[in-house]
Amino acid sequence: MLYLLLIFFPISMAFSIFLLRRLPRIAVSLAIGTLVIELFLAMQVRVDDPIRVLGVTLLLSPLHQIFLFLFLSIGIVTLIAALLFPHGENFSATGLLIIAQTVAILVMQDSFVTALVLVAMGLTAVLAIVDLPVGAGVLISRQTLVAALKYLVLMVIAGILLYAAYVLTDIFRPGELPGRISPARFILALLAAGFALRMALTPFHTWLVDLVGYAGSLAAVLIIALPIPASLLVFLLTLQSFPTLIFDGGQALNVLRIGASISAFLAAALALTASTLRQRIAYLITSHCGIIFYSFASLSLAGLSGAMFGVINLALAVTTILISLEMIEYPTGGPSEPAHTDLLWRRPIASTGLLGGGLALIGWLPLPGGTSYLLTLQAAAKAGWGELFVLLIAMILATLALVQLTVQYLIGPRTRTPVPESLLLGETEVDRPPPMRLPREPWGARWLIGSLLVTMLIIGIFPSLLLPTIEAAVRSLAVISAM
Amino acid sequence: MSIDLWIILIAISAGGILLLRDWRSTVGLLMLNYIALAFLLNEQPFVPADIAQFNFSSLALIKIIIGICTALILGVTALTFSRDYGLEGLDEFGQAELRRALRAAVRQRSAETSRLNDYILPFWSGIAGLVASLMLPIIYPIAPSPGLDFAWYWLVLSGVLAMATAGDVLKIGLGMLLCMSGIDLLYSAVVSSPTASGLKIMPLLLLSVVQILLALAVAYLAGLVYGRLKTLAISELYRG
Repeated sequence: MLYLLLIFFPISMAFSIFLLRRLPRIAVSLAIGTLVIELFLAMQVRVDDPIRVLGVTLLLSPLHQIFLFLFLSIGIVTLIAALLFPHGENFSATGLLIIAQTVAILVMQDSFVTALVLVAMGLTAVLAIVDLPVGAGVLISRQTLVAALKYLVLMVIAGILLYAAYVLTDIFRPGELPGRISPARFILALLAAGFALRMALTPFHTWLVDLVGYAGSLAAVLIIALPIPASLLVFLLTLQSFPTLIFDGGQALNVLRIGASISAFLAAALALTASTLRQRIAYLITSHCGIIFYSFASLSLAGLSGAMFGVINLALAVTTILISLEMIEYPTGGPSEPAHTDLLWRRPIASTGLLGGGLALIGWLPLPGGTSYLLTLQAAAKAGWGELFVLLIAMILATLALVQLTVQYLIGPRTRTPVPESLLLGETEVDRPPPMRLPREPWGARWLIGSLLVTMLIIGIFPSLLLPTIEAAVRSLAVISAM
Repeated sequence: MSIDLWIILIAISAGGILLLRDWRSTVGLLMLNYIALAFLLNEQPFVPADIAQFNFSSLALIKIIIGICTALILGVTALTFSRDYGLEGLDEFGQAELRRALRAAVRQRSAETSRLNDYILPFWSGIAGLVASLMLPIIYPIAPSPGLDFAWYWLVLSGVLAMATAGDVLKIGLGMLLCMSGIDLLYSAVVSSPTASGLKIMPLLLLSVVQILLALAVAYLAGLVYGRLKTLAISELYRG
């Protein structure tokens, strides 16, 4: 029953909170309370204790338990940030729905059902993209509408590709119909395209760039930091459920690996040429996704462990970066503040968060990204020098992009305070509007970003906190034991 | 391939959605598509007629209910496009922007005439999709019968082509719904075949819920786009 409670409690609370959407502080506080209770419930669930409901097995493995705690914590952090910064009218309700769907994906052990839940999550996320704050006297921008439409279409297409693949797996028999294109390759191609869209691999990345560029930062956290790791877990579940796909798929894995490495390289190159701060960050995220996918497709112990560690890093880094961006843009609520070049002095904590998250994305030690990248490089070295070289170039380009971002936005020349013009004839000091003063960074947000950075540092310095569980889960996979 | 009335209806309704531009026709055709799909499933030997009084299967009934729900959601949204929501809190810049959008939309509508050129791309892409749907069941059969294979290939292809050639938000949504119903048919036909694992309640339930949610999301987005631009044209979204 606890499994069902984990899924349906946030859903029921989301509908209750929807009724209170005009009272944002109460709605957010209720949502935080819901997630704290959810965290308590998650602690009560016994791992590896399956139950069967309506023909679907529900099970929480130790690996999925780590992700469950991670997703709930990210949800709580994002909702606390929503208490401090402006957010959409339905943010708490849609946030809870997205989290409930993520939990459902974690505990359901049926690939087709989880793919359906992934699409449902995409549809919920559309509501979060176009959400405006309560009483906002502004119109929703065209770019936001375009971002929402693009996201909707691409997620539905990804869902259709995955559905088709899962239906085919149901009738696929290894070694059938010699001489015809192997269904395993066709199924793997469908799966790869579907997950590439969901994980925003270049050239399927446009939804993520638009999302980071035009949607609210807090909504973007929930749409990137939860569904992308969840998608990778669904892919892992698929390979676990149908290991014959890999053996019958021939060289398909090589194609996936090469494609993912090129994707990481292209995204890092695009990050170098991006014109805005948000675009640059979006491309860095895409590049990191490419490296995670490469690591996953290597299907080795090091590779899969690196991919799992990588998605944990991605979730934490994206949360840190986007909350920092929200703080940088506070209280203007728009992209005017990043026009400055001295953000490290104007917004020191937010800029540190941005830099820390960026370093995690490009895989620097002692952040968790470093461990993930080392494992990925280890897997790439086994696969061949060519792939290792492409990955290293991608990592160097991503590092250069972050250096460029730092120089361009964080540590550039300080903006001089404008010298007040002399008074006009008949004008007095009282007639003039008071000088604009940038309010200080909210203390709550400082603590939030500080906590996220400390968490990333702890996981990065002591990877043994998570790595043994991840490696044990990876070792138990049928694909790995057979290979 | 045996010719079946319901397959012909599916082909005509999906083709009509691909070709036509007026929402009154396309939303009606969507409902017809779902009804034809339901009757097609009902006459398959692998779908048991569990509502014995009417010799009808509950699976087919579910499809009809989904069809009615999606068509109603889109139809009611389209009917209420002229209503303005939440304008009382809008500042004067927003109101000026809305007036500008309204003028642009009125200009666009008055300049818009029904030209034959607008139908050339959907027509020829539809022909290409139809040929592909007739060939694919021979080259790559998946479903238990060629008729079912044709139906799901045609639904998915016409949906993709409708999305690709769409000029407005509602048409994109209709394309997505066509694709989903194609996959729905594939799932029902393939998984219930004797060599497969058999239909399960959870995937069927979620497939139905996702289709209704998709219709809701499209309706909401279409409402927002119309409220903002006073038109559903995608070209207006990318202007300015």
